Amino acid sequence: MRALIAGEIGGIALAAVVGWLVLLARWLKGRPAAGWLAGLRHVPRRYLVDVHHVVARRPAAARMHAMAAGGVLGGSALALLAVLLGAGGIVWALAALVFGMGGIGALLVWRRRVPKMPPALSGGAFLWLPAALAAWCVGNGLAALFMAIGAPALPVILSVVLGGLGGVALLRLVALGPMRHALAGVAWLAGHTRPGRFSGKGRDTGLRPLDLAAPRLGVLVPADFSGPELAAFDACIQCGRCEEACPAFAAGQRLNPKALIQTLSGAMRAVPPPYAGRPAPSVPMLQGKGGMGQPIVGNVLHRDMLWACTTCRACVEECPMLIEHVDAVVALRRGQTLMLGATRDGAAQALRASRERAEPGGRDLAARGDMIAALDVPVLPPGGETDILLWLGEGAFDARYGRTLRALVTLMRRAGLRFATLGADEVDCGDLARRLGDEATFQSLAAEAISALKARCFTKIVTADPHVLHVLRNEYPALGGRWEVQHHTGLLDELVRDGRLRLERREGARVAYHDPCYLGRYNGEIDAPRRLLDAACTDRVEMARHGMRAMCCGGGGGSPVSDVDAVTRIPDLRMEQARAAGASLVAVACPGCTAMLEGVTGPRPEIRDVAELVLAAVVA
Amino acid sequence: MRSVVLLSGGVDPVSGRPAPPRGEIAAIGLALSAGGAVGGLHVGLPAAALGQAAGHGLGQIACLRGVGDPVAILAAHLSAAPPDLVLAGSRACGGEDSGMLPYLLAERLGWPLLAGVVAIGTVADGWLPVTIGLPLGARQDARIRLPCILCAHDAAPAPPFVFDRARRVAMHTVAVADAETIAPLEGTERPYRARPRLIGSAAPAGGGRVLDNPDPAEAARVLLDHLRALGMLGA
Repeated sequence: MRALIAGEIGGIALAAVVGWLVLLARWLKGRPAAGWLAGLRHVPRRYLVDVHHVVARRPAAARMHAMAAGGVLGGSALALLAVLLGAGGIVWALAALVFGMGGIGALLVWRRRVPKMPPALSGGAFLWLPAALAAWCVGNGLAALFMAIGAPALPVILSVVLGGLGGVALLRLVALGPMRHALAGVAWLAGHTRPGRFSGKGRDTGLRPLDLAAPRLGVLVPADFSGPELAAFDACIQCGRCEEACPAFAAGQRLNPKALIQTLSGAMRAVPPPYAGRPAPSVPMLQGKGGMGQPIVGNVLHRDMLWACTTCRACVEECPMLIEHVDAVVALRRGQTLMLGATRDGAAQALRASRERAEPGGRDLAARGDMIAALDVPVLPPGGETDILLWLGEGAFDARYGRTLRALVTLMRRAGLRFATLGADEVDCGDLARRLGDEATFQSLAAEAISALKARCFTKIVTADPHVLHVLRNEYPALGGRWEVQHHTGLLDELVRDGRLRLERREGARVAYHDPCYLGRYNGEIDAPRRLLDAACTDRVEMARHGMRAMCCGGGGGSPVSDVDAVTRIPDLRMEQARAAGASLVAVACPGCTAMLEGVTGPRPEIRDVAELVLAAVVA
Repeated sequence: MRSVVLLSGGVDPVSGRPAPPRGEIAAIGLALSAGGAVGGLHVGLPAAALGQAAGHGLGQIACLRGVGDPVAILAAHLSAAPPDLVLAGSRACGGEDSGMLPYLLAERLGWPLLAGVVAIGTVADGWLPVTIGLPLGARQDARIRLPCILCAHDAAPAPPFVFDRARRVAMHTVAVADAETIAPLEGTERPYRARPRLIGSAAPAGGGRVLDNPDPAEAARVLLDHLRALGMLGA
């Protein structure tokens, strides 16, 4: 009997290992990743701490997963232990108990889609998952129970047959997708492309520089992704949390992050298993044949899926498998832009202006300071020295955002700070070019910006643009530019804290703060703006989606210049959320958010930058 | 079919940074649409704008290193091994920019020239059919005997910029005999001053009629007639 149970459970476990090696052989056809398998030692911690941290945001799902996964793995391990050690009834009883817990987990898996399946979940093979889990847990659980009480052979054999059938079904579900996450997840967590997420500050959001001398730039075929990235696509469990968070999907744009990842997973295979989740809105199905060397875009992935992404990282923030959707989008965009020039017309214009005028809007760099000309902010010449370098950013060309910059400069003057701008030597930081996949233009802009900054002496850089903040703080260091970079809300928060600005709360509007993605999710700064608003306004409310889980305004990632088709506009949706929170004023902290939210037509809450609200509340 | 695209060391008028003029990019597009071998030709040392122009679809660029009148240098080089087609933009950007170079070159080579080309067809019996862009979106078909010089319309379709092509371009310098020098232009520079706008009856007569609250069918008929008269709807 022991041999029978050992053969059944051990055989299925062995088959799972072989299945993992088969998958690994495919992932290894991707670009090599250093120290991938050595990362296996990190997997238990990453799985139990980081993955669980995300899963546990939905307690019911966490309970379900803990019981099902714990039951399957724990029960099987205990049963094997009982066989190997020749242990007595206690271990068998324990195994039966754990398998029983797995059975309850299988019930919860079933309840997840019955009687009504939530629209973000996938159907298809997933509908067979509870039965397979239940057969494995109940069959082996009964076998363990019979072993514990010393029952005759027949019931044990029948139970083992049931468990074996469940095991075969689970293996089949690896191939079909629902159980693949268990195997692929191990490989992905071992070789995660952003290890910084698991250590220290827990954040790693900067894009990696591309070697522009490499023969293939970006991704055109699945083999251009690194091995761990390919494993990440296979690790997707299709839970749909990303599509619920995606602003582009909500606005009916042609993007669904879950469908994107599933398409990339399918792109590795000539005959991918069918996808039974929601597709991206209005995207025609492509019937191209996949394969490691087959083109992705235009063959299996519709090109519109690439350009709707605002790179807001909401999907990444929600993903329990810690998949890096935005990295995949940018890698594909790099291939399209650098190797084929296949960008949207509007984006091509912005990229051309970035190349030829160092400014995506094509405006004269000397006109950047026009909006603050009346305030006589000094321009720092090469070799000059000051305390704070004020980086104006692209928003400075916009008359509306000029008001914000004037408020900021006025506040900095009041606090007695010594600061200056780069004047006409301030080129675009390259954010837009980089998100659109034009790494070549980004690197040339970055090199120019870094040399302009290195020619001057200052203690820190302050900017009112979170995109600039992110690029200068997180992406320039890899290119040799390291400075302390601060967002204007951080600076004002310091000034208020140190008593250099005294604020008196203003009554009136009910204020909701809209977190810019590049300040919140990309840089984790969600408290300073709120402290400022609490000091400047009497009545502050939170929108349902705020902080690290805030919704994008639709302005990032080059999406506004990429002529994206949509059913509705992302800022309209965001404004509706502000109305639902009862706000009569939306506080913003980014030129992009300001422009997008001010573009909402009809009666709506006012839009004010945090700096403007602070200026209105300052008394000394 | 062998085409040569004349390239200038272009400069962007706003930023003063290297940038190929719009018309030269359109010329590259026309050359590619003609099929066959396409190369770039520049008089002077390799300039940064040439690499950017190559990104729009040129595999190789020859830089003629000689001193003197570029028209003479080009004419000598082109008549040594004449291509079928020489394409240029409407004018360079950043130099003296008279826009005369293709015409002077055509005169010296004795080749025909057509300007404002938006599309070219396939050669038949040594004649090349071309489409010329006229004001108000009108198009005119013409044909020209090869070899010839074509100046691309600024609004002709421009091929996309591909960084991968720009970095792979083969740029080689060809030492050529010096030509006669030309005297630098004499003149005074003064700041640009906006000219008064043409208003009212002084505007160019575009034809057409003003209809006051017309019957929709009548309005449609008048519109169609007008568009036909402009040659935008065929006969």
